Amino acid sequence: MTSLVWARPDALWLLALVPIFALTGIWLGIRRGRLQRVALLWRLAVVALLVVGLAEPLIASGSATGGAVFVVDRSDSIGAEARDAADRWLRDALGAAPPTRRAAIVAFGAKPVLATAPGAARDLLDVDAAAESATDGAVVDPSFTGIDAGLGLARALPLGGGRRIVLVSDGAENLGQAVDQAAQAALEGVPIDVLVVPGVSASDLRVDGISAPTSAWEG
Amino acid sequence: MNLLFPAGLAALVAIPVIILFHMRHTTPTRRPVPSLRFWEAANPRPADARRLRRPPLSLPLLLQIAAAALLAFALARPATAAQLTALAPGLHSEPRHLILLLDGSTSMSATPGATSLSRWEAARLEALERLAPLRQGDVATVILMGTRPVTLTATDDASLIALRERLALVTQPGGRADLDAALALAGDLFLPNLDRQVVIISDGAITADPAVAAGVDAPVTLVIAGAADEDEERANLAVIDISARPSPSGDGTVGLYTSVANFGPRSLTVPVSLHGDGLEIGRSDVTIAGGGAVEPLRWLLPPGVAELTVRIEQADSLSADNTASLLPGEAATAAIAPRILLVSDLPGALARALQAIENVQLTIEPGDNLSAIAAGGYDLIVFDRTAPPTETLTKLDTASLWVGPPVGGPLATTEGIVDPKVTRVRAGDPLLAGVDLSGATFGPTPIFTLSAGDEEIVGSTDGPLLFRTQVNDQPAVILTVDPETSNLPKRVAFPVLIANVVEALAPDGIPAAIPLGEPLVYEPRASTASVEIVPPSGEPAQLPVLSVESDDEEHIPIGSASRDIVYTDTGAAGVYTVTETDAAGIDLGSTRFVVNAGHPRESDLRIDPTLASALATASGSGVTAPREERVDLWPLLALVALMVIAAEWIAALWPAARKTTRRPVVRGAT
Repeated sequence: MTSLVWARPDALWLLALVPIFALTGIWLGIRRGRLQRVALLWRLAVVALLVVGLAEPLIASGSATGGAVFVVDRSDSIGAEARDAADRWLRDALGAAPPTRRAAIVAFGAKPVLATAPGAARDLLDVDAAAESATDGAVVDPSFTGIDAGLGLARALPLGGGRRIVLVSDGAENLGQAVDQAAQAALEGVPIDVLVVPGVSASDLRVDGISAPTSAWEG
Repeated sequence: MNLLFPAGLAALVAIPVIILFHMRHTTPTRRPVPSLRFWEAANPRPADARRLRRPPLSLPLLLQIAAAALLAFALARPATAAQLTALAPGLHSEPRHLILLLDGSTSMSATPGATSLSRWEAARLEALERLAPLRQGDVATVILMGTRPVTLTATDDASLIALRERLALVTQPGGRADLDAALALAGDLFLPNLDRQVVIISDGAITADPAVAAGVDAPVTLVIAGAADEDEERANLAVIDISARPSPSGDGTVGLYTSVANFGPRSLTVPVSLHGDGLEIGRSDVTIAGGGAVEPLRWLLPPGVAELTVRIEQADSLSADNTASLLPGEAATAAIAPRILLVSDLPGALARALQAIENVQLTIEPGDNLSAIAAGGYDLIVFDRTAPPTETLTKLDTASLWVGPPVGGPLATTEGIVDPKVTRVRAGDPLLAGVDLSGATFGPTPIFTLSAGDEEIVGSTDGPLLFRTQVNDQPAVILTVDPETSNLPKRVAFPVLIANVVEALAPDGIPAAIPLGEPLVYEPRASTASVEIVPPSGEPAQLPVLSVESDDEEHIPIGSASRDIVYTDTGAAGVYTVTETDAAGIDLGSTRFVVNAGHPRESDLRIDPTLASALATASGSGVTAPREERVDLWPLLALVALMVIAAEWIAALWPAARKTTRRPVVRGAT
């Protein structure tokens, strides 16, 4: 959906000059034979177009031309094979996007970084979609999985128009509460699609916790 | 000075065209004359001797050339240094990313004494003023800080206009602002090739972590909305806590407990009134020391009051937190409370323990009423020394608690019966929170055997006494002890243990009151497909609920997914209504809860003295090299061109106007 908006709507008040020009032109010019009708019409057109130009008419496009923000998990819980598969999927998705669709990529570990700034989705194919560093040189800290911060950045990115968020993660969150961001996105009408990638398997051995008595006595 | 669109200078070709028009001989006007006798002598040169003449240096020609030149120059979009910013405010051309952190917390509702605008309205005007200069190429991000941070963005002229229009109409979100989260988000929003500026518009009654501010890596400006007045002018009284509970004396009366705080610098004595269902039922004068001191108050309540309101009868700059309400009867009558079915042939200690739990609906049925068990619709089924037959058990679709299950039931036992002693306890298990089993005896107890996946919580040398398992793929807790032969029901541990089990197995009820800005988190009942929450503003929010009956393998297994509802828009004070509906859209019941504006943090309107120093740590050292601010001059040039055209119009018509004004004088002379 498109609509016409004005950058300087106040300038349209200058259109009041048009009838003034017209009346003086007719009274002092045409009626006294000093001005031809065509000349008057030309001048009125110039003044009107100049005023409209000053008001800066703009075509505002609706949310249909929005895009997608890919939120990609770069934490250590995702193995190299799963990461490669996710990157291939990401490139396929960007390649299949319509030419007008915009996209951005957010990579996250403990904190999110903007891997690629918002732009045409197909243009992102030229950049390293698997980049682990941000546009400002920040590097992803892979030691934690903070999905909520990644989703928060995806919600706040100035993408233009509407958006949908695509989360690529194993869901092994250990920082923050992604459900809070998901609830807020739902209230804003921003859909979140999830591509689940394999993370650490359930059969993986790990030290789940350690506990000790608060005090102990010898003997 | 740079030309952003040099090709626009091609429009200068209009100048020679204009001159050419003026060099052209005009066609003589046809005029009837009485005689041609003197005609040749008056005009000796024939009119068509030359088609072109030398350009006449007339004022209209010069003005037309000037107008054309100005328009051509404007089309070339000249941009000049920032020295002309004052001349053309808002016409800068260097792209930038303006990040506005707009404080929408409850404290921004305060109205400083000298003005009629609230701080929120002043902040919004300030934000609109900051957004006004942005043009095509700029990016704006507005983070509206409240209970639920809302982000608004704009990337081009049209969306900037839409952003300004939306900001002009947006309502104050209320609640508590998390400046640290907003600053962290602003730090993450690094867009290349844009000069980033962060502006915080707040009342100053907000805290910031210096470490978070340092991570923003961009200049941060703090703007105090409204007057930056002293503590004296930011004095505020508030009801910051309200609750009702049975009197500790056990006389059956209910007490209302409330706390009144004074965030002004001086001690005050103020009247505080209590209203029940709209009628004043109590009043007292309270003296509260200044500097954030809190004074507790207590009233005895008459029975049957549905709605209570405590009111400070003194005006101050934030009136919303001078009252606080409570719905003491709502929890007992709420239709949304978890439904528990107790299957018992002889209700005793277990029934009493379940009845003592607040905010639940308890139904008791005998063990032979199999249709009630199979019908479903309950959030928890408790079997008291009984077990249904297998065909009924297979229809069990909810969590269950089994107390003293009989031998031969669905749970596997050995043939032995012992008088067990506790030898193993799973430390830290939430079912045992506050449960002291020392001194408890259990009487004759069958020996149950654990299956794979079962989790023993309390055990003896012969077998488990309390364990988790699954019955018909639903979570279940088994207490193997017969409460009638054990001394456990006579000890405090028993009702605490039962309450813990119910809390673990049944969904939570909705509390009658929620602190300002705290999210409402609860698990809807099993048959609920959607929850509607209507805030005080009246705009309902629909929250879908994950179905418990989904068997689709492509979906997330229910066992690992939460059915919790998270509702974060609790920033507005007032009464909220919660309604649950099933998949067919039929109402399953509704309840209400209250959010009060009074809060120890939001009611304190004093400026945080550490805020400025914390924000000063945001150096912006990592920002791209400082850019020279430039102003785009084309609108100025176009406006001047319009004025020149108007002047040319006057010059062109002036002789006719002068002739018109002289004519009466000539007539008078003759």
